[in-house]
Amino acid sequence: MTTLREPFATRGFCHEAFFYSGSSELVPAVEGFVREGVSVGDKVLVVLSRAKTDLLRTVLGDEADRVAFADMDVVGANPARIIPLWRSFIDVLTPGEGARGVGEPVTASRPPAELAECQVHEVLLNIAFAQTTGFWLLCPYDTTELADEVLEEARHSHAYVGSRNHGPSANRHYLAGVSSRSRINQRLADPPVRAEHITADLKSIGAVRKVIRERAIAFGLGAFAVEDFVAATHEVVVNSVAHGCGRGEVSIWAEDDRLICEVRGEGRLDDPLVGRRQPAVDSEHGRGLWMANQLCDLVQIRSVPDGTVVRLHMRRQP
Amino acid sequence: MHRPQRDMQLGAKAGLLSSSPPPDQAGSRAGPDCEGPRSARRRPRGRLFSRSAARASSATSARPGTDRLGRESIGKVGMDEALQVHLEQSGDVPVVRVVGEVDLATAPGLRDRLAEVPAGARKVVVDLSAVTFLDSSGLSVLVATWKRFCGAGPDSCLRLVVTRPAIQRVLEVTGLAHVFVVFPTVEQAVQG
Repeated sequence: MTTLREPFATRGFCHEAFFYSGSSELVPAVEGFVREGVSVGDKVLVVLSRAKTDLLRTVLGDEADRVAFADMDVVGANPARIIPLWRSFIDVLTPGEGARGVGEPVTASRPPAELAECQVHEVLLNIAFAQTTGFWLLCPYDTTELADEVLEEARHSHAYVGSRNHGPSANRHYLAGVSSRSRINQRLADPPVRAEHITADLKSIGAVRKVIRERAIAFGLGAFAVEDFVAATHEVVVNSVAHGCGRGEVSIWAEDDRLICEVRGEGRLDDPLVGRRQPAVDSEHGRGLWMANQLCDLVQIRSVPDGTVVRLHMRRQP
Repeated sequence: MHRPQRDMQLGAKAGLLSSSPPPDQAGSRAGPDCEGPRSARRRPRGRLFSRSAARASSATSARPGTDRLGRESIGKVGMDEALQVHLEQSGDVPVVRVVGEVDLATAPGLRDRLAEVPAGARKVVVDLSAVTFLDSSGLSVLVATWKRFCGAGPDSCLRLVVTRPAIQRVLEVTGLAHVFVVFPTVEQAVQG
């Protein structure tokens, strides 16, 4: 695997889409990337499915001790949790220390809503680490499993592309700036006709919470999941009531194994990374969307002409 | 006639619906145009809550005063009678016993009661074992209390008593479980 020849300091954030054909091609490539990083003194964090990290640990042998690992199915189930993970990794580097990451959020097993949020996440990485230098993040995409349009989207969201035989090169299909921001706002399909609707205002916040709890119990969420879902949806309803003209339009419905609550309000969110930054412990506000992202299986945020839509998903365990 | 609860509710509402920049957003900007025309949007299919239901919850009056053990009770706060805050004392340690739901509507009441704990206390216990719900507004009140008594420092002067997993979870996902010192009982919080 070829490497970047220039020193990291001049490279900034190297966000590479790495196209591979099957695990047998991925593991040696990542192994090479990791070993090289360790040899030049970079900090390395690998975030893949457990099966792939297990294979990687085996081939790395003792060198696996010099590398941090995380299970993408755990830390990245809700893709909004991935950027904070990289942020905490980068924040502990010493000046001049390089960082390498491997993160595969997009796999064929992701249902459509999760895939959409993975794609939003990839674009947001470019915003989150725009000022970061010396960070090389490899995002593997399996060409044998993923649809063409998914691979195409990856070409739009990564400034560099690479493959087994082809080291990272600047990617002319990369869409930076305005066009990338419009892609983080792709419209969500309307709630189904069967959805239940409630209008929340300051007086009815507690009553709305009670309804959501009843629906969550009836849907079959476990006891802890019920409380997590109630807490998360409440935070979003509060945001809407507090910042969006005193009301929020709440919709609830089930889709397969997921209970979904959407809150539509007139407040606007200007920060595309909202909910993806761990609030400072001494902060006296601004925790609601962070909490929602920690508590729910998926949170989708979209700006719309007259405000903001937040959609929260909670999966029922089999 | 003095109606402190009503004042607290009005104060809370006034603060929430102001046009000042919402704290949840980065940067300062104008809030939404709440009086302007709304673009066409889906109408709700039906209202679950009638106006009469909203009217039915009544404002309650405070019953200040101390009982023979020196405990004060604020009585009931909020239109849903959702929160009670009792100021107690265990030796020289103030114990604030909170009962019910701490959310956007009731958090200002909790804040006002916590403000009554004397400033010089070296150790303060906030008993959340009977709290059934705690949202980010409640966390903000706890953080403000921690800053007031502990100077936002790392020592363990603000102690929480937490028994319900849902409340512990809220503290953990926000990183605050490491900041506040959490105990399973009041006795341990006072002595630990």
